[in-house]
Amino acid sequence: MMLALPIFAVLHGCTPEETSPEEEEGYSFFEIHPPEGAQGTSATVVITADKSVFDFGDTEVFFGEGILVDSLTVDDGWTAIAEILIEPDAELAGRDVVAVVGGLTYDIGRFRVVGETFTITPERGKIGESVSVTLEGHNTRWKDGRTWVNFGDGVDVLDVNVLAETLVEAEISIEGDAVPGARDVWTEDGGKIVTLYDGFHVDRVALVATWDPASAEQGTQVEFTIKARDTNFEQDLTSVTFYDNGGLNPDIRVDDITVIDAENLWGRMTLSNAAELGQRDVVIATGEEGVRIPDAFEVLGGEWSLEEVAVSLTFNVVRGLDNSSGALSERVSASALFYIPLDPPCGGGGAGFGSKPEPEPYDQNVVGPITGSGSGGEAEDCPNPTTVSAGDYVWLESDANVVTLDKVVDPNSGLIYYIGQDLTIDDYVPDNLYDLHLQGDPEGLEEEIVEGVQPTVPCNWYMETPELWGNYTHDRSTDFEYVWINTEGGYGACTYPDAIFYTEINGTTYNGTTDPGMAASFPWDDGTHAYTPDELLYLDPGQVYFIAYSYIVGREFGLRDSIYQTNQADSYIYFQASFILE
Amino acid sequence: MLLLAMGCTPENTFVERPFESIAVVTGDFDQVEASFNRLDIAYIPYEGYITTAAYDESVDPDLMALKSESLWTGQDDRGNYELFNHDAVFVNSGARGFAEVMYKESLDPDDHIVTDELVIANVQDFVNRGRTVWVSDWSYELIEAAWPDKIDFYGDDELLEAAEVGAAGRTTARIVPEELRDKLETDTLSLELNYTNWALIEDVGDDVEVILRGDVGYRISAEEGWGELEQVPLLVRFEVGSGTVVFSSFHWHAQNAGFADALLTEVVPGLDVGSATDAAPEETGDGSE
Repeated sequence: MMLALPIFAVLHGCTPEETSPEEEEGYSFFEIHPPEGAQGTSATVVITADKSVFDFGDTEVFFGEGILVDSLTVDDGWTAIAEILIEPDAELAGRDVVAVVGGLTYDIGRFRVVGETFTITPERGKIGESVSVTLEGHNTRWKDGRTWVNFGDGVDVLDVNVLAETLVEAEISIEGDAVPGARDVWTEDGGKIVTLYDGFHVDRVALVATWDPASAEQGTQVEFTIKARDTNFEQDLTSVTFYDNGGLNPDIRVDDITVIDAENLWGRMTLSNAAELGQRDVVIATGEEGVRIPDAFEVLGGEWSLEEVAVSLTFNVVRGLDNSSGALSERVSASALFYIPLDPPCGGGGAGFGSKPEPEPYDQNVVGPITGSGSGGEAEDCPNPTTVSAGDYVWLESDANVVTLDKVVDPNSGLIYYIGQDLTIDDYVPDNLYDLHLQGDPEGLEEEIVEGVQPTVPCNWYMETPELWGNYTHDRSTDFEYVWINTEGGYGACTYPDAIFYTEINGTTYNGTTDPGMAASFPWDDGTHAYTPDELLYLDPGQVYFIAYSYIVGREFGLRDSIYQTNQADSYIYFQASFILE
Repeated sequence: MLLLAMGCTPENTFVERPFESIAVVTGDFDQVEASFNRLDIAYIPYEGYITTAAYDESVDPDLMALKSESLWTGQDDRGNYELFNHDAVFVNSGARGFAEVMYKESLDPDDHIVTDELVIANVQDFVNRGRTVWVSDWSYELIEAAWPDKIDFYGDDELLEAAEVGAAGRTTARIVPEELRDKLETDTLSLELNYTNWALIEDVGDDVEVILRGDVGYRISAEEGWGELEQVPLLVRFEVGSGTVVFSSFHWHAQNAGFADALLTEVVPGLDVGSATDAAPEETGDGSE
């Protein structure tokens, strides 16, 4: 806001001391909105006065050098609207704006020329609605992880995805307490703020929906009904999702939805037996329309028993070769988890150490792109299962040694698990079979010894050649031959027939595409194997990783009173190093 | 009519008798009392927010002693309705009791005022006896219920809220009465329609005076999106019996204060500028506990 006298009066010698009351009444407050505009853009600027100042047909406005006033419309004595064009090389600074009305000149305020601005699509949303918006920048340099978008109070920004330096997608939720009307939108980019004045309009109409039932129990299937107003539900287009404090949570599955009409639907959902407890927001989406029901219902704890406890058990060695020093790092870990398996199941599709690799055919290399789930695809977001205490400790016991696993309770998730502390390679006895000994917990599992369940790989082994450090570079037109030896003085990792040995090269793209590529092999475990040029040339030049591991799976077992008797412990010695393919 | 010969002016014309008591029903979206405060006009506020004041989140409705329900339905010991203690009632946009369901809150009904036949009959009687009712935007259902033939609001008249389709934006409104143009020294006013879904007038009866007209946008339907209409009535006034009813589609508090105050005192002549100085505290807008 700007307080101004006609400059005409000032020029005639009216010092503050000499100003008469009549002259003081001549002051006017002016406002310029928006107060800034970006280089190379046009803008509509509304200039208002608190007194009737502007004169039809006898008003001009000047924004200074580099800003052209295309037109000026005097709506009434209090309001003038200027259409301006800001030249690309207009000076980046604030400048005085001057109005000349009937021969009197008014200094009416400041207008700032900035370098960056953006547009937003859509530029409106309803109260209670969830909206995906796109911001298109002008001279912006947005960056993922650094740029955030703000819509002010009452409009929550759930997610920001920077697609390019001038393109951002954001998910917003217009809360019930959002004030309707136009509001500024601004981006934060490090310390830099770019504001789009009146950039988003919250419509006064409110999407309102109600949900029934008020609560639902873990591990059950529940029918629900939604009644809404001003929505456009459509069969096969309307979806229902659930949010808790951590955002979207897929631990409740919608089994089916029946749309009765545009404002009513019913459906069935199945809550995971490990669904997060507490209040859930429900979002009903139809096309681009989404309505949110805050705290729609509460997830209540379900029943479970010790007869439903499964066991996850593993004992491993992981080694890595530092590229700069050649130092071999080594981490030995052992862990046990006593849990209620997820129902409905979740995340079972991934390959890797959770299941035994199939070593057929032996001694044959494969090379190809990595596509689809289980080979680099996005992991399914699953809830943490309910876990059960087996006492303060469990032990892996054998004649050779005993490995103690301490109880740990994750302070955030409440997950109970057991891990070995400060284990070294001396604790990992190759070709050994451990019993699992539960200490017992009056509030959880009783003391129990399950015999012969945790194996270790047949022998300890190391990579001998090549020495994959110091930016080791391999010419793809030659064989990549590698040699591995065991600590018993021979070649190989002693795996056959009870265990397997596997190697892999990954980390670059496949054959000139953007797909990640990989070469893999289950080599005959004689200590020497090679990837050939025919295979390596499918992998594009660049930095890659060489991975090798021996792997063994134990017998099926279960806790004494559990219905789950097909648990299997596993163990591996794993090696990873990087090198360069050229 | 409240026009009384209180003493002829030199031109020998009638002078409007000023209101002695003004009731203001507060609403979520408009605040005509902001003009009263600037003009030093005494009034008694009745808390009528559906949820809270969108124009000022610091307003605490619970601190306002008088509730709008007591204005509409309250009676004294002798059975006199509280409404008739006032000369004029100003009903801001976003007052509760005039909608199909609770705004933003739930799908529960919010029509307890507009569907109360006794309230509507009292309001009709109130105006017939020479008083003034002023209504803005979302409270239009009061006029629709009491005088359905005066203003043809957009949409199905049988459905509450059907007329709430106006688009947000600024429009240059034309002042229709020549006398008002002369007094305000302008033919047009720049109106800010600050929220969407304002109550749109399609047409008015022959005995309704249109004061402002303008080109506006409106929402046709979910499928057809937004359209435009030319020169729709935005501020109207009509007389019933010896009283007056004023309706605006726009919010007064969103307008430039300079012309809003001048326009208001011209459209509602009984407003007594400066009356608050000598009024009791409860009539100065300070009706909070």
